[in-house]
Amino acid sequence: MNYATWIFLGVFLTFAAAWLGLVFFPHEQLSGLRAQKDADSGQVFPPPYSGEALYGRSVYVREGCWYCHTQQVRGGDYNADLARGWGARRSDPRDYVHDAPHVLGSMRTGPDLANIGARQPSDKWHYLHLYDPQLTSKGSVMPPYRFLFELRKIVGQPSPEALELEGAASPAEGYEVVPSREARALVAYLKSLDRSYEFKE
Amino acid sequence: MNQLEQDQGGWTARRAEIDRSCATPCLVFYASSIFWLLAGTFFALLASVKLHHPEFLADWSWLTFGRVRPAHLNTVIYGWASMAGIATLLWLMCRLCRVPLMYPAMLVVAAGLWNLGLTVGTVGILMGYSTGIEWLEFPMPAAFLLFSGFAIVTLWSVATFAQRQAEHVYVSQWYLFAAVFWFPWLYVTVQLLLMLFPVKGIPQACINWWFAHNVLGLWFSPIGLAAIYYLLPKVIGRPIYSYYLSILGFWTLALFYNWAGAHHLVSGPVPAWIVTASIVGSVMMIIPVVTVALNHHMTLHGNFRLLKYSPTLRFIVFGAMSYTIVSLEGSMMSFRFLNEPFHFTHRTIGHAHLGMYSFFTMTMFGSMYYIVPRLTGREWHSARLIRIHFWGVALGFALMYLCLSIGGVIQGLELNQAGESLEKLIAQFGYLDGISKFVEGFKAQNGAVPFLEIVHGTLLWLKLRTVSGVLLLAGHAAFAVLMVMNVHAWGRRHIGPTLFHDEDAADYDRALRQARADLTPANSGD
Amino acid sequence: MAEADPRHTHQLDQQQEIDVAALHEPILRELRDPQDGHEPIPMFMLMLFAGLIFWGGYYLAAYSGGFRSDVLNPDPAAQFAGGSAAPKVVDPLVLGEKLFKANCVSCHQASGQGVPGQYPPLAGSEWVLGPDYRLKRILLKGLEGPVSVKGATYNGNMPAFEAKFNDEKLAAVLSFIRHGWENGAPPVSPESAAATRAAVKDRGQPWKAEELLALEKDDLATPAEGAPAPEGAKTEPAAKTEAGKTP
Repeated sequence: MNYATWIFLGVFLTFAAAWLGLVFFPHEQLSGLRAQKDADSGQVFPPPYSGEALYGRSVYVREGCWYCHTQQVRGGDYNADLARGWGARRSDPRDYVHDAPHVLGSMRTGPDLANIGARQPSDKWHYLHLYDPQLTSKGSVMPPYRFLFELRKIVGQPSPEALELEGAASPAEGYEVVPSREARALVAYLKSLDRSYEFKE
Repeated sequence: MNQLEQDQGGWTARRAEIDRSCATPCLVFYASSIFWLLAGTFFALLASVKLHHPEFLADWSWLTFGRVRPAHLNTVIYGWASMAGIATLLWLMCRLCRVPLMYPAMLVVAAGLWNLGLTVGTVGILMGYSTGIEWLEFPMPAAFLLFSGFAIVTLWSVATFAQRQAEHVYVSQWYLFAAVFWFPWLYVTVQLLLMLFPVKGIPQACINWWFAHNVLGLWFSPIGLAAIYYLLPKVIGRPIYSYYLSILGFWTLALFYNWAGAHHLVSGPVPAWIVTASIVGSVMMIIPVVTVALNHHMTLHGNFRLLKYSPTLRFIVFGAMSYTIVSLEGSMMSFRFLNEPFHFTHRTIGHAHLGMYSFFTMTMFGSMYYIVPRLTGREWHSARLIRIHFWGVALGFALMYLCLSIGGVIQGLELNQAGESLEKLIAQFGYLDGISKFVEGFKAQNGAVPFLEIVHGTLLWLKLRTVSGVLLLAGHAAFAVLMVMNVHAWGRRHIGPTLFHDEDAADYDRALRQARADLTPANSGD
Repeated sequence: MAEADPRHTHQLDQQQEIDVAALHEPILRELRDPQDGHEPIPMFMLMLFAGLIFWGGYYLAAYSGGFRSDVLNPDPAAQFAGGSAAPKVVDPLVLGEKLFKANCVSCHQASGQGVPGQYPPLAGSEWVLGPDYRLKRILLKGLEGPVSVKGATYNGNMPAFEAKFNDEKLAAVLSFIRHGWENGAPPVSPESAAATRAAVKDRGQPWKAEELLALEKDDLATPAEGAPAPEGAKTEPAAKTEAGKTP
């Protein structure tokens, strides 16, 4: 008996079995999913990301937001995802047809973001929260993303986009804090996270 | 010198020749692995501090938590664990096939490619070029370099195996042989399906977790087990308990471990059957784990006194026991009723470290304590430094595991089941009443505890985890010092093996003789 | 593998390997290479494993949802239920709570207390307890600029929910915040929500607090289109008419 042949065969077959089960068949079953078009309104669910939101998504991926925030509302009998108001319904495979890389996440150091756009549609809140989470959520352990903002000298009129910072957080006299292009895109992405539509059967 | 072993047919001379032939490539891999271990520990500490002090070094984008964390993961997985694993694999392969190491220069090139890949990948992550897929964050060029390095190792392994001089193929070799195929298959599959021709959405998540779990199951576990299967009987001089258990353990691992990945998606947006298949695979892992545990335990049975003296044995047994615990814990954690409340918490991080650290890393430390003196021909400099290493990492790990488990369980209950936060109840009613009220307050899934209160409740445990990280770093530093001194032949050289409790060396010899006392001539010879 | 006289081999090796020995003490003192013992596999273990495999087969069969891609809930009971179930009657307060949790808690908090200095409270707020026509308008179009609630001034912007909530949802969430936290104010009906929606539909920007305070009643006169105001809309004391109407 040639050991090497047997071990190689066995090792190959066991690997192939699980590859079929966890890679091939899921791919066969789910890769055909497409967004659903509502015949009446002409709207597409899930709506495709806008260019800006897509850029924001790359910032989300790059900064590793997904290490602390999941994007999935679980079903099941042993969790409080729905009760926490993280979504009006369980997440469906179809919700993710536009997503690559997937950012389902594996940890909830922070709350789930599958529907953050519905829960928190205000630009102002998001900018403040990204600039310094303590301003909106005292006691949060989220890192501040000040590097996504620009501190700049006010020339002429103050920018309408400048953050309304108060007290200790406010910049020096004659300066203002404005979101960079990346911060604006990131907020656009976060606001696009709204899976409150319903799929038709 | 304890000449307990009698020798036949010049095998000792051959063994010395084989070890000498392994010296350069194995030491290159080992030395690199220790560098990446220190780098990984440094990133880990940074990330750990950032989790309770978010303002710490917050204004440098390349050191933000979301980049330091993957830098930690990838340096310890591909840098430390894989490189230490490959060196151990090379040495075990040569010894078990009884052939000197072939093409050493080729393997040094592989180590170079691997190191280059790691450097490019780590810098890439810090600069913001992460792929965004957990366990595979290294950008494409780094992945290509890693794969090239690994392809060399696989080819080399096949060539060595084909040249083997030993008639019997020992169980360690099965694991090693399997590992050198599984890992490149895995890596190529995911690189093709996730990076080159990316599938979208949920299939991607399935593939991601299939890979992430299999790196542990089909790459690190086989190497760790191969090392334990070799070193445990080797150090105590007894045969492995049962060949049949070895066979059963190996093939059931090959059959079931593959399937465990999707238990990371329990109740998520995934068809039920995928998750169910993974839960079954995870629970079936009880079979290989219990089998291997029994095999190892019965081999060591009655000789636990040796743990007092032999550093190798102590690290290896620590690793073997952790393998049993982490696998059984993993099987339990896959059940829906435990997975749903606790999966997205710090508990999962604790579990991952029980596998990658307490099992694999400790096993690699043990292997290096045995192998490196044979490569350099020099004993370890000091038993005291080994002791600092062992107790630093053992206590550090125990503290980390405890913190993450307790903190994570509280976090999971507050996220999903508790009516009010534990912290609030303790402040109100004191410890005992507070805890009992917390338990009484479990209502089904009402999500009533405000999120920021949950976050606040984890802070104590996260701070303690940073303390554990300092202990681990101290242990790693002691080990790095030992390694540098050994390789450079600095300092006083130990005469005879470097043992804990050196003053009782005679007792160690007695214990070793006793371990072999009941062996019949038939199975005590070579 | 003939067993030679140990002493004899020992001497032979000593001669052969004197050079190597100097270099390789660790190797010389090594014990022999690992061997396999041949103890049998314990019976109880095999039985345990057989049991496990049996369980695995059962679990896979029972909880795999027929291996279909669209079955996410593996509970076998759930697959046979559903279908014929009667359409559920939704309690507006339950629906309202769900909507509140999904859309409002991150600012106004589950306790309804808001965040001091940032987001106004809803519990005990004169805006919530008072007449519902201001509230409906805020929810439909949003609110901007300084607003005084329970003696404190807040300066934020409440987003508009006109596009997001239909009349039923609008009424449900308003009923919920008027009812919850011991607020005890009467509910809002979907009809009155529809009427207000029609009345303000041409407004583009959020309200200012002064505008709403200037509003004396649920003014449904819609100058542009003159949308027909349903009878339920005439309600100044919204409570009485609506209480009778709710099914």
